[in-house]
Amino acid sequence: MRIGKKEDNGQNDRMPSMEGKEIDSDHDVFLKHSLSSNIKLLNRYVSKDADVVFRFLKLLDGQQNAVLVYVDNLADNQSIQQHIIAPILKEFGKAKGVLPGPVKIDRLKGSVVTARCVAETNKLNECVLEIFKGNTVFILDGSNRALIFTTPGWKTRDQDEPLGEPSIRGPRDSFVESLQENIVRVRRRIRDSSLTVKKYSLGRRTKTEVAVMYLSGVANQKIVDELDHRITKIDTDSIMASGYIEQFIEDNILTVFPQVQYSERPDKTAAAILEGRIAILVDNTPFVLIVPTVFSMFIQAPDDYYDRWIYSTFIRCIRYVAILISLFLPAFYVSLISFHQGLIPTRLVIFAAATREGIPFPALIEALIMEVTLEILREAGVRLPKSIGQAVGIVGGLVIGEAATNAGIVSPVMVIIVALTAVSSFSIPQYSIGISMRILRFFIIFAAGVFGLYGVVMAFLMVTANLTKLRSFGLDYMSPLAPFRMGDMKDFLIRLPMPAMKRRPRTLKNRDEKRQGDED
Amino acid sequence: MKAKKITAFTLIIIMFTCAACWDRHEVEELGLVVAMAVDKESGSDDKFTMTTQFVNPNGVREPETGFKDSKAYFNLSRSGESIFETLQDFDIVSSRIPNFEHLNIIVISQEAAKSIDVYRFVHTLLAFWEVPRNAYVLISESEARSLLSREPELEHMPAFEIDRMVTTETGTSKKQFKRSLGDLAKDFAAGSSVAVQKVSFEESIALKGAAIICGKEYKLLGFLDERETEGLNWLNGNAVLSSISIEEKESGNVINTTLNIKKHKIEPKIKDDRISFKVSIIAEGDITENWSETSDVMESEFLRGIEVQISDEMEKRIYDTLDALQKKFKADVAYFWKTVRSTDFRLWEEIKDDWDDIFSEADIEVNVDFHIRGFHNRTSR
Amino acid sequence: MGNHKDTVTSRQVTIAVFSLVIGAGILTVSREVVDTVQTPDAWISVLLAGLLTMIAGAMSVILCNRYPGRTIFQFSKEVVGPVIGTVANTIAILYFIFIAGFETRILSELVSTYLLHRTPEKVLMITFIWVATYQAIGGINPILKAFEIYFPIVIVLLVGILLLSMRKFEIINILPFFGNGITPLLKGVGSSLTIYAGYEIIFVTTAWMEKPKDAMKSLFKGLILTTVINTAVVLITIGVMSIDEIKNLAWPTSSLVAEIDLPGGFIENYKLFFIIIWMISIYTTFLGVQYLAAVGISQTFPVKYRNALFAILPFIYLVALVPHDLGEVFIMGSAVGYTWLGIGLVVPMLFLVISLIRGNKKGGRAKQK
Repeated sequence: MRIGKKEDNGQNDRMPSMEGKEIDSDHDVFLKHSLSSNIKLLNRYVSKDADVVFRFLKLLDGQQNAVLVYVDNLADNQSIQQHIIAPILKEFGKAKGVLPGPVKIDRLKGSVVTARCVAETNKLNECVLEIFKGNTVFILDGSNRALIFTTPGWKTRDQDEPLGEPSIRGPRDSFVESLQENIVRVRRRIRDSSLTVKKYSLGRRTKTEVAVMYLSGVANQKIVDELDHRITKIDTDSIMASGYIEQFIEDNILTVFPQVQYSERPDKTAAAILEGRIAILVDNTPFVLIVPTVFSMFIQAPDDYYDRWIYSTFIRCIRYVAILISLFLPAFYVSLISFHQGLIPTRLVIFAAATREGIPFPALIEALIMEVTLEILREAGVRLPKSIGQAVGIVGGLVIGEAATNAGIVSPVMVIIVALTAVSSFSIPQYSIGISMRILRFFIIFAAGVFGLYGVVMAFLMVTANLTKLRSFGLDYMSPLAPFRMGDMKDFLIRLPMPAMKRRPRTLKNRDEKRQGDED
Repeated sequence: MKAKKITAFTLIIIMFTCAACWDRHEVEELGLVVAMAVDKESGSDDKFTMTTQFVNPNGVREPETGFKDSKAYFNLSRSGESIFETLQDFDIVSSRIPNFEHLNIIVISQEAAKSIDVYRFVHTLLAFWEVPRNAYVLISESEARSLLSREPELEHMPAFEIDRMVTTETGTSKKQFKRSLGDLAKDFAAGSSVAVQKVSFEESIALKGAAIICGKEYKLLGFLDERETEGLNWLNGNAVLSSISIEEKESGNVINTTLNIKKHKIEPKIKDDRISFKVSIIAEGDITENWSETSDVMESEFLRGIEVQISDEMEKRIYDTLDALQKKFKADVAYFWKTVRSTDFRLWEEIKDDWDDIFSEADIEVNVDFHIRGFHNRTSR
Repeated sequence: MGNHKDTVTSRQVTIAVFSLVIGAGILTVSREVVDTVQTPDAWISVLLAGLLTMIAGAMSVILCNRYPGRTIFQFSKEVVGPVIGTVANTIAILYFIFIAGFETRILSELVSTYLLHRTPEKVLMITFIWVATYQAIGGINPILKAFEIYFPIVIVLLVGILLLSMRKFEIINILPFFGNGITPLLKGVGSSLTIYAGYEIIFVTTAWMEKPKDAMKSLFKGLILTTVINTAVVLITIGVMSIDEIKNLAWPTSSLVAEIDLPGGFIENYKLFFIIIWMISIYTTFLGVQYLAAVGISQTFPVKYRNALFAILPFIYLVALVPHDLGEVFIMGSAVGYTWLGIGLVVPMLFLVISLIRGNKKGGRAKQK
């Protein structure tokens, strides 16, 4: 969403020539010494905004004027009153005897104001930026330096359990929309000094704060630099959510497969950082990006590490089977039933023929109808309120399937297959891969419907071709399967017991590989 | 590069959309043939009748009601001189495309087997009709077609009934070991004679005995009766969980034991120009039925006596079988020839064309060693 | 592209050798060797042929290691001079195109026979070629990675099927050994050698290996595996089918699978798995030779890899269309085999000899494109 030009609805009682003037970061505008000129300068940028507050202060019994500028409710009103206005007025409100001259900025900064984080600037454009960040600008008559107090005061929601990634045995906190709070959640889990936080401000109009976190001395410096390069290259109006950043930094736009992982869970993020990966936190989004990501990481869930290895290995294997099912089952059904009846056991063929008697559509069309219906239902389920959404998804599917079977439009076997496929795709931990599967599945079904088993195999070959050509920040997307790295296989299909996971994944080419064992 | 990618992509899309799905036949359009019968056309020398059994899927299973109100199968017959043409004719009389990929059972009547070249028949089916290699071949004593028409008691259709009977490994050696199309092809390719299951119809379908098909002209030579088939099975080691009854020498009472062939070996002995064979069989069993009043099965002397008797009885029956094979049919269906080839390849190459004659002259010595292992749960009576 | 961003791992070389060599040959080798040898011990010829290939392969590795960092296309000029070198390269390129066309044709015959009877063969061939080209555009590394992904599928299914067929295996069918003496077996080596074509990939991958010292080991691992598999296939096919029947079968290995008969009849038809095996095997072979042809062109002539890749497509297609019927296809297969004897075996040995005589030994890696 881009901020368009503001409409002139005739209620503009400010200076007529001022429409949203944009801060031009190339040209610095400097503050003057006179308060009134500074206010005039400032008004050029903020007079149109009704929620920008100018709080005038009369110091020394009116001898010196000052002004506080902030955005109502974006800055913390209470903090401004308590920590800025009150101390100032207390100290300088009344003229106390004979003072050596007017109030000096330095004194204010160091000894009077008790708000946190005081910065100083002589550039007006910076002041305006800070105002819109929720901070407070203090301009004193007679000084061309302005003080900036950090006073963000907006409310954030209470954190919930992460909705998209529930966990059976893991912590239940999740990220929220405030960048600083999110950083804190990660910091609580990694209390090491090597945890690095780099900040950027992206988006010309949104000026969204973005933080990049990684372990210095562990993460691959080349990847860190590459990421820095890609982020700084981003030049756009708005960054509304982390998804925007993902689309700018990913390696390959033309593939169905995501190359960036995202998560709502601080524990997963912290674990990724500890592995040597890099997290990207974006203000106003609870979804944190994690790079670099390879295919196998989409199939890992944090719960895999909280449980014992036998259980985790078992569940992982089931997940892999589920992926295969969700990709290939309908296609196999279509190809075997419509093309190669000689390849299935006799009893099965008779059974299939019996159940398909009277169905007006060929198997391919049947499959496509059911799949498309299911996708529509799924999308509908997302739009509805949470309580109804779940029910609509499942019940709708069953009911429609049942009705369609009774009407004789689709065969019961197809309904079962489609349901099984859908359920299988739900077992994939990362939603973005689930979407890829859904798209691919259509392609493979179609290939099966045209070329039978040959089509299925060719489609599989094409998908592998795409996968093998993908890279994520210079790493092979298909690691550790291809190129095969024995060392990483202990966390791929199976999960070896904790004491065996001594090294970080070699795929990432980290600087420090040791997880357990001797510390240096 | 972009242009090339796009062109390629578009071409592929076009190809997909233009595709006529040439090979798509929906499963419900198929006419699944599960059994085939070959008879000789009565009154004609050259023609034969082929009957195919099609499956009616709705008869097998009605998803809604669970009852079958329609018959699960139906038979169609065509006659002709050429196998291929006759089979193709089925396209004319059936609304569905005949599909032989699930053909299970092939029954050839006695008359037909005597006049057609079975190898050619087998070869045509395998080469052109995509008949699976593990379709089973049977020779019937009477009309083959009638075997496919009898409404079975337990199964859905005659084809399944016969299939069940053929594939179940039962406890009798009176039926010849099952032979599939693939097995026949292998043996005929080497010029070997073949023994095939014989099916007849008394009160119900019975699989007993064996039919001998000669390896030269690939026509039916004749049948082995039950006893002779037993001997053949023992010779080939195909006797698992069968049994044998004898009359005890002294008392004349019947004693029955189970029979498992543990080892069977056929050794060729080639001396000068004469070939002879030594057959050694080691078998085991438990006493199951003892009609004798006086003897106790735990008595070791008694047991030894039984063992010898049974061994002798087995040898006698095998000799009877060999008699039939060597003298009556002059057909080596027990793969004696394989043992010769595996011992002296060059010799085999020389004599293989005359094998039937050489085989019928060969001296065969049979030696059976039977051991009684136990007597199941009860000791006497 | 066509160059290598990363290096080639030793494991990848092993798998690449296996993937290229196991192709269409595995389906027909039983019949071809039995036809020549006529005895039940024909599998010994296959084993011997494998050993011979290993010797040739070893020599090739020694040759390549004398010119580290360069593929054979690049150093052939150093061995025999620029003119003959270019001629040799061109012959090799044509040979690879020839194999590619042959594999395409074989695939379309098989798919036509077993899967899609009525689909026009041209459509089958075009789709096949396009899918492979899509993969090949990425260069050597995606190709090798793809091989790594397919390898476990192929080997597990192959070994599984071989084990399942053992049920019908009769030892008596493979006896006697050396029944007719050694001579027919030696003749058989000639016809079995043809199926080992494909190891030429090492001429290119050795140049880019992470650890070139391991080239010999990787090659041997790959060839030993291939020899074992080939020999096992022929041995088991003879044991189950017996030599007389094999002569009647167009695709003996496929009929072997059709013979699998397990009690309980759980899955009646194992052909499904076998079909997947050969489709992938033929694809990997095709992919490999297509890449070799394209990279050869790009390293011999001033043509970019991508363009070379697209340029050879019509030629591959034309070659595929040459045989008139299945019989001619098999003749073409033999022709491929005999050409390989010349190019894949003899020429590398010649080169090695010449190189040793010349005493060439250039160290260090030359710059890649």
